[in-house]
Amino acid sequence: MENRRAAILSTAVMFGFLLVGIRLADLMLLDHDVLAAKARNQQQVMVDVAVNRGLILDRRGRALAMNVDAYSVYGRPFRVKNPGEVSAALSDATGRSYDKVLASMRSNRNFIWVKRKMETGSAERLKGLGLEGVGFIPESKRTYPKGRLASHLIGFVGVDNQPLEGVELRYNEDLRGEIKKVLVSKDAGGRTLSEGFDVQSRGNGLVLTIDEGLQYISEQALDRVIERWEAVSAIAIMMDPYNGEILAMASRPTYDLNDPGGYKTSSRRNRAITDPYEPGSTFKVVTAAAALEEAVVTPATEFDVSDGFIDVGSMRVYDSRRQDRILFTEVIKTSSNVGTIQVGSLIDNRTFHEYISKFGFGSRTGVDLPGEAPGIVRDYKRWSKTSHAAISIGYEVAVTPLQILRAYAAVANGGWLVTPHVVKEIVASDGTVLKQFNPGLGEHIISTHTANTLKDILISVTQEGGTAREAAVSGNLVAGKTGTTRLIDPDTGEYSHERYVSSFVGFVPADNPRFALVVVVFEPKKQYYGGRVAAPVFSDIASQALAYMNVPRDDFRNENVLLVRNDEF
Amino acid sequence: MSVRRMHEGGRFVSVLTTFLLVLTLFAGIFGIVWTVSGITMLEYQIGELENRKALALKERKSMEAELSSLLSMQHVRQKGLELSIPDRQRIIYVKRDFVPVRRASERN
Repeated sequence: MENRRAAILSTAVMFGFLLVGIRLADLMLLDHDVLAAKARNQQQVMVDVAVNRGLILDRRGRALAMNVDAYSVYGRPFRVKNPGEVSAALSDATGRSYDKVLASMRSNRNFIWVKRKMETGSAERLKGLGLEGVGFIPESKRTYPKGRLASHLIGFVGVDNQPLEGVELRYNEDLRGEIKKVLVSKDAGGRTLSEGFDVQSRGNGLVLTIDEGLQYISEQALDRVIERWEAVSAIAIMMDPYNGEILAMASRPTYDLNDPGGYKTSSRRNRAITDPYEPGSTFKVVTAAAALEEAVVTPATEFDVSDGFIDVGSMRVYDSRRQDRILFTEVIKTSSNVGTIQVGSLIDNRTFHEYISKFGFGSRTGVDLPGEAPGIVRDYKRWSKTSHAAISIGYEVAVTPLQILRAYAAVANGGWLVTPHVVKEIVASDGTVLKQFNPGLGEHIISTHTANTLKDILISVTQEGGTAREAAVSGNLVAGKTGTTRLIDPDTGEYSHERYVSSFVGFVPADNPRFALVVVVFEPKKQYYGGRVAAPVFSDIASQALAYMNVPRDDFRNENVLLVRNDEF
Repeated sequence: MSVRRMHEGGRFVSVLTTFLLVLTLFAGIFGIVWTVSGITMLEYQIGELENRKALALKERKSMEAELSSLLSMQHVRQKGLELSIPDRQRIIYVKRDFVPVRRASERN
């Protein structure tokens, strides 16, 4: 009897095991694929990888644009049972008005943004309140640690990190980072299991050609000139004349990169490349270069400017001071309009136009920034009877400050037209250099002999008897030229007697230039001559910049050298 | 007697072998479960550490941004921390050479 019972029991147990085995086989072998897919769907979720834009650094590696982590707070109004309480907490944490938040929370919308890119600490505190219907999305926020510094050049991004201005816009493809998703395993409690790899996407970084120190020096000087002469706007650009690297590009008015929406659109415009103006006397260097290259003048050629004026068609052009017969060099040194028009008249329209184009006027410089204007240079076939004379002295043409700076850089470097650029290198997130920008010297537009002759004349401009003695720098020779032009009065369409543009462009040390610099001041009050308004700004910036760059004075003597034995150094 | 002993000895070996096989089987299953559970635990731990690392990195990014802002020339000057450009007339250049050091008294 007992044996029979044991047999039945063991048979039942074995049958039970058999059933379990069959079911297991069914689950693990026959339905494996379907069930495995179901498990994957439950355990694995696709998540967006955090995308960090690449860093933007100055030429010495100092950060100008970085990323910080932030949270964007959103609401699902239909899930909020107590909108008043939730809105009060959100209002406190985000600084938004209670009424606006409450109105959003009471709306019948499915999803609302409460606050984008909120600082992590505040967001964590808000998270801790456990508000119903309120969620948080981690995001990367662009931040600009130097605030206003080089704002026009760096540019900024929008709330979704979309590029809007400057190098942020121009180099977005390199900076933005790859948008990708990864599969992450999570358990029933929502805890993440490690994937064993770093799930972040980082864009490539940019090393700019600008130097924070030089940029700061330039911007400070512009602030002072705006304040002193109550000017509407001002621009300064500093460039290495041998390779076109922009060392500083400052513009006023300006704005804070961390709050671009708080400023007028006009303050955000990079006037250094977008605003053409009539260059006036600074353009005389083109006339002089053309005349020297065509061998129609020599430095010793004499011009009679004793009338103090010259009639060109219906136009009468005056000199600011009366002189008698002067040499070609003195025409430029004293910025004689009458003399320059006589010089220009020795060259035909077509040739003159060729030289203007050779110097890059009328076409974009190719600087790697968005929004560059080409300026205005009309075809010589469309010139009026007065155009040649007007253009000789820098009217009837419109140039950007960067174009005029490039022309002077050509004089400084022996006649080569460089391509200005603001990005030196593109580097990967691990520091590997991916690309270097070194366009080098461009086209040879004037002979080295002509460039050197012009250089000597431009040096005389900043010396005794010249128009820009206030541009001089203690310890080094400065070569350059002033410019003073009237702006067109928009009401009358005529040249204004109240609105002027004062400018100075030059390079220093003249014999071995370390940089070329242009300063343009728009609509200064009380004083308007380039030699009085812009030239001192040039001197101010150049003096500090030379010290900052550790450039020795021309009168540097051996007493200032401390020699140490090699083994003691 | 000897046949009976032999029979008992064979049965003992058989039971022992069965026992060892079952033990090995269970030990194997236990080992696999142990290993899998250990891997999962490790994944949790690594996940936790990665979260902590992510938090630390977040903090580092914020600190770097703050540091960069504090080191800006604008900030240094605003705080009156004596940012000044050197006077080039008072700069002495130090150069390597194979000549003896000139004493200050000799230079004057």
